[in-house]
Order: sequence, then structure tokens, then C-alpha cells
Amino acid sequence: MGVHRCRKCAADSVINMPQHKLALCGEHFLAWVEKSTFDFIHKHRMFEPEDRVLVAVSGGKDSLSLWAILLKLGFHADGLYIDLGIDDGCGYSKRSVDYARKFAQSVSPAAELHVVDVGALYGKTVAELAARRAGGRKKLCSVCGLVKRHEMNRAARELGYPVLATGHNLDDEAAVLFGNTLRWEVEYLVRQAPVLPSGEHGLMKRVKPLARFYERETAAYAIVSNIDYIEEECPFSKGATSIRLKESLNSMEIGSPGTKLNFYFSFLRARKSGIFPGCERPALKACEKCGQATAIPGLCAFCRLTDPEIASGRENDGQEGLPGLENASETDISRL
Amino acid sequence: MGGRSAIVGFYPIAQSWIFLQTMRRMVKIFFRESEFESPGKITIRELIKGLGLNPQSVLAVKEGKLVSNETRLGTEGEIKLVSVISGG
Repeated sequence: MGVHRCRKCAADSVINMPQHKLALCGEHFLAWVEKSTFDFIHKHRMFEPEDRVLVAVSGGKDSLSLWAILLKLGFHADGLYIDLGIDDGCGYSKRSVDYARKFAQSVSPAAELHVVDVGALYGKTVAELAARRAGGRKKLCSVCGLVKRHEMNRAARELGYPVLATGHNLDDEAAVLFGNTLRWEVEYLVRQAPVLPSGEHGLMKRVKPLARFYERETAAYAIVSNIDYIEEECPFSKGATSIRLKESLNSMEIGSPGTKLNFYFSFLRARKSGIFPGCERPALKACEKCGQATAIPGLCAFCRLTDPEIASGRENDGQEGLPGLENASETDISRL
Repeated sequence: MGGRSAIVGFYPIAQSWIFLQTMRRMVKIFFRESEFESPGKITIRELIKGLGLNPQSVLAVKEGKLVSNETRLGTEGEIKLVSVISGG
């Protein structure tokens, strides 16, 4: 079997997408991704043309592709990079921000890049913060997620962006759904969606405009568009559960094209039809320290993590981790 | 007549010779930090499967351009395999 022909122009295709029975050349693939993204934004009422959108960028293929697509579609989209201080001998965060800056320069002055330095703001890198928790490095990915979500929300609030967009693709969403289904985490399943609405106490609206694309499609978009992105994975993500779940889903996809697509979109339809009755979002409170939304009274999970008094008290007690943090993280805004 | 049968007899030998020469031509492959060579006759899909990788999780780039998995490696140039899975 030779190379498939582009459905639109009969030139050699650069990508074949069996789940859509669609093969496209580079030019028509870019046009297809951009139109599909616009339709997805419109269908899920993510934002309007006049809204200012803050795109969380990591220097990777998904977030930089998302930023490029939104700008190409004519939206007012600026970038936000959160410097987590990940080094591990390879200077990962430093190299990642360079990719984000390089992209921002290429689209300037149409868009600007905001950078939040977690180490400078809170005196600890994400690895140092994770070391305070029970499980240490094993919990690094969840601490990283908690820090990113807190800082994304804070930045969007303080900089006056009504919408926060992230580059989650369908593989990311399907892997989360798969993991939560295996554990029957109903309280998480009910909240998984391409649009997470805004809430009281400054909980900002979060949207995932690329959630309908497979990961290989967002990577293909970056390559065909000549977007320079960091190809290496985070050094702390090796052996991560999310990667194992993605590999399992990809194995099923090979034998049965469309498995991931059907899994995710069938779930969204089932969720919309009310498969999880009585699982409403808990009432939100304002964190006593940062003022951001949290479902737990007192300090939010992020402030418990970064508060030096709580941390030093814990160290003096000779206990591992922080009191209440395991439960707190599950009900913090990071999960809402 | 003799000349014709000589040509007919030569044809499969020539074909085999061309095939062997093509098989001998190796294409340089880059994947993550490793570098190796592969015979140019096979397709990218066959290369990916031969490496024990999932075609869903890898894309191929030839001379800076994305190429379909059905593309043959060819007789010259370099192919870079790009892993698309990220997470944490």
C-alpha cells in the first residue's frame, strides 16, 4: 500500500487519521485543525471573539500549537508560562521557557508572554515543595498540577483575563477518564469536561480547545507549522501513570481505530444526559490567605503547601507530609 | 532467438541485483538520543513496528517535513522519529 492521497487535493498526504477515515496533505491538515478548533470553541461556547484569552504555555507542542491556532483564528490570546524550577540536571524549565519566549517573539506584538517564577515568588521550586509531602518525589506530578492550577487561576484573575485556555488534547483527556474510571472516582468524572465554568471567589473559566484532537495530531500541527517546541518529556514524568494509561489506550487504538475518540465523546454525552445525578460541585469558600476559591475551610491546599509556618511545624513534629493535604488537594480548586 | 532468451534470463538476475543494492542502502534514523541505520526498502510504519513502538505514538520527519507512515524510507537522507506522548 502506497502513501494515501490527500482527500482535498490528491497530493501525497502527510498524515492519515483512520478514526476519521481522513488523510490530508500539510496545507489541508493545518486548515482542518484550525477549522475544527474554531467549531469546537463555538460548539462548547468556550469564549467569544472579543474575549481576552490567557493560554497556559509550557514550551511543548500542545500549548504552543494552541496559542498559534488561536492567533491564526483572530482571537486575542496571550501566553502564560509558569516557571516551576524543574532542573534535574538538564535545565528543563530554563529550556522550556526559551521555547515559549522564542514563539512569543515570533508573534509579537500581536501577543505577549507573561512569566510566573514559582521559585522567586514562594522561595521553593516544585521539587522542593513536593519533598515536603508524604511520598516526596512520587507525588511530584500531583504537586506540580496543584501549583500550576493555582498559579494559572491567580494570574488570569490578576491580569484580567476572563478565560484560561490549556493545551489538553484528547489523549490527555482520555487518559484521565480511563484512570478515574478504573478507580470509579465519580466526583472527578462528573467534573471532567472541555469547559470548566467560572465560580465564586475568583474561580476562572478554564477551556480546552484542543480536546478533540489526538496527541499525534497536535504534534503534527506543530511540525507542519514549523513551531519549535521542546520535544523532551519532563524528567520527572518518566514512569508516570498518565503515560502508562496513554500507552494502553494507544494499543487499543491500533486494533480498533476511533477507540479513544469514542471513549471520550461517549463519556461526554453520557455525562450530559445525567449519568451522575447528585454529584454537584461543593460550595466554594475563599482561602483565608490567598483569597482563591477552595472547597475546604481555612487555607487552600496550595497555601498549606507553600506556607513556611505549616511546613516548619510539620518538620518539628517529625511527621511526614502536611496535615490534611491529601484530602485538601482533592477538594481544592485544582479539582473543580 | 538466443539473444532474446539471454535477455529474458538476465532480467530476474538484474532485478535481484537492484533489490539487493536497494536493501544495502541504509537510511540514517534518529530517535530520542539514539542514531542507527535501516534498510531503505521498508516503510516508516514497518520501521516503527520493528522498533517495538506504537505508530500512534510516533511521527516521522524527513528533511524537516512530516511524512506519512506509508512512506518508504528511500535510498538517501535521514529520518527523525518524534515521540508524541507527553504527560505527568
